[in-house]
Amino acid sequence: MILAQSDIVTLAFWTAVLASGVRLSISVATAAIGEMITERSGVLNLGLEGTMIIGAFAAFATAFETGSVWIGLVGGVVAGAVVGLVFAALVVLLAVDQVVAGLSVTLFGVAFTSFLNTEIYGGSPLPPRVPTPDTLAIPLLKKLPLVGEAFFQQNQVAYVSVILIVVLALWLRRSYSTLVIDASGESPTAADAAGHSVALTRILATTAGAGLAGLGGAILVVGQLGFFNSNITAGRGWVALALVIFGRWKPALIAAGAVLFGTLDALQFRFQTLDSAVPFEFFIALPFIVTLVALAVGSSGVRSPSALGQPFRRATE
Amino acid sequence: MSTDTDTVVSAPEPAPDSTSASSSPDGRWSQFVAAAGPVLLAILAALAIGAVLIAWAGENPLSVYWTVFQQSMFERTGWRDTLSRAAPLTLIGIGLGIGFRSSIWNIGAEGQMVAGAVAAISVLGVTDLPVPLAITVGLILGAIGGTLWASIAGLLITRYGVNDVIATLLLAFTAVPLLNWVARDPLQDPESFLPQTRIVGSGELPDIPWLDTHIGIIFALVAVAGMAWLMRATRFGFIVRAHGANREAVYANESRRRVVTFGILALSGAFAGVAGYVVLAGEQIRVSGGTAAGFGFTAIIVAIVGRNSPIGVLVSAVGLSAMLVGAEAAQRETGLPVSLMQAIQALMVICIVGGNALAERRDRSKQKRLAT
Repeated sequence: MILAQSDIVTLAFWTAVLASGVRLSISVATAAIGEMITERSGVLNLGLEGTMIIGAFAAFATAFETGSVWIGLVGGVVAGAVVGLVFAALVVLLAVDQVVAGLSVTLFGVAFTSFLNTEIYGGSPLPPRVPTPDTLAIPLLKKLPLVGEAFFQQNQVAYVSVILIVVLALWLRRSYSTLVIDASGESPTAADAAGHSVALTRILATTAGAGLAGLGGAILVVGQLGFFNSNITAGRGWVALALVIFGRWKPALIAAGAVLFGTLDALQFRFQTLDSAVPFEFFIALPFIVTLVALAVGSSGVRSPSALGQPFRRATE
Repeated sequence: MSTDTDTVVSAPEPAPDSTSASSSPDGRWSQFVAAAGPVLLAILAALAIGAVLIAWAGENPLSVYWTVFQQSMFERTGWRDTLSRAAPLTLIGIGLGIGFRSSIWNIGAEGQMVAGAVAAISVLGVTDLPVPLAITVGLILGAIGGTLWASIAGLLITRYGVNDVIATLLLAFTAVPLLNWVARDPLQDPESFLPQTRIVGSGELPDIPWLDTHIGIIFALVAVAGMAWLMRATRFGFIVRAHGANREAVYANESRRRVVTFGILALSGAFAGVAGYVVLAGEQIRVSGGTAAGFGFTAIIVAIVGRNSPIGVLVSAVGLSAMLVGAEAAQRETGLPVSLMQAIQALMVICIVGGNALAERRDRSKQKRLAT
């Protein structure tokens, strides 16, 4: 379908864009919130993309074998957490360089899931599918202009994920654990002196964050697409990493950034069919360019957790 | 895993390279064994995990590994492909290694490589220069293209404080759609229906007579020798090494923050751009969507496995290139996907850095026992 330039000014167009924007943002937001928890404990997990795609494949495989989307989601969380635990063992216990370890996890995850997918599901000419969850429209609210479709006419997985993110964000605001996590990311020596194990905190925060990254991949594949492909996450893990910085390690800002990015992505799909002088490839690159510009504009004065990326070694060790 | 005489003095930051100038009493050979021994063990560990996966996929691991080895090293086509791919991997790996060693993480070599290839074809596709001149122009344009693309990242990082990993990588993601556009529209070969540019013409790299492979590997060897000398004997090399160890000291005494970061990024971009020209003029002949073939990402592994030193990078580039070429042959024979070999290579990196960390830990506890 060719998009005419006059369509862009209609409310229906923007309602649809926002609806698919919110849908596209959920998996990225989930992974980004996970990475935020990890980074606030002082660990930079650049393996996010690899963790997401391993979670995505695990979710697809479990959903395909059991026939249940929900068990698939659990499979994604578990797989992500296992990857996170291995990564945490490397960077926390062995103090391996976090950038090197993270990049390796990503390169491994993308290649390994491609291998597994070819071996297990590669025989058939068409990729096997799992049924996507039913849409749940909330009466009355779904009729709201602009935001109705975006927030009150999504599928069940989307609602559950959003509720999960909100609950998590509220819990992070109020819990004692957050203080311990932040302490080990800001001043591990102080956290250690106060009697908290920095290593344990970081391992738990990294495992939990990776579990959420796995959930993010799972949401994408069994909650939305219904199939798996090589490199299906296509850089979403990296965008999530950028969102953590853009959102200044705060859940609400990260979620807002994710919706912004998702909307842009949705717009990009539609602009590809726009009959304009601008080549469609520019629209494909647009989300990445906008992310870069947003980071360039928003990075001044942003302070990351003080001990981010640095291994902590107790004086007595 | 390292030898007893070569105890690593506790360096708090686990820099991925440790080929420092410290001379051990037993001289160079034991130093080499101490450096290469743990790496070889780690590679064996990764291959062992790979063997389990191959067995799971229903093939015989030993025969698959034999096919990989034999096809990439002893078959004429395998040997040729191994060297012709090792060339760009070495070139990119050298540049990335310099960055990694100075803790500047350029992950977007793929984009810089593409920019180099596009810059080269934009002139070579429409001119007909004599061969030596065409190749010179290609190398220079490749370097310029790669440098320019890396400079965007350099600007974002040094002037706007964007994270280096994210800036370089997102620019690579940006470069690929733009590559598709360039090949489809402004530079498309008017006589072709496919989205591809004109051929590189007289800029095509000639073969080395007896080896049957193009001269790209010679460029790589020259670059290795040049950079090895530069790193060892010049102020530049000193600044790069010092920047990785203690960057605040470098800024205080040697050079300005932005200049160092920007310069190292631009240099690694230039190497990637030259590699882009080599891939174009040695193998692909035209620029198309396939020009972004993943060399920029494989080179990250090449640099880390080669411990970021130019000579190490050369060795690991040939080795990793042979593994991939052999894996393609194995795919043709058994249907085992090449992605398995890519996964094994990533596992190698994990085993190498994990093994190094374990060795360091053991040395530290040994030192402590000696101290008490």
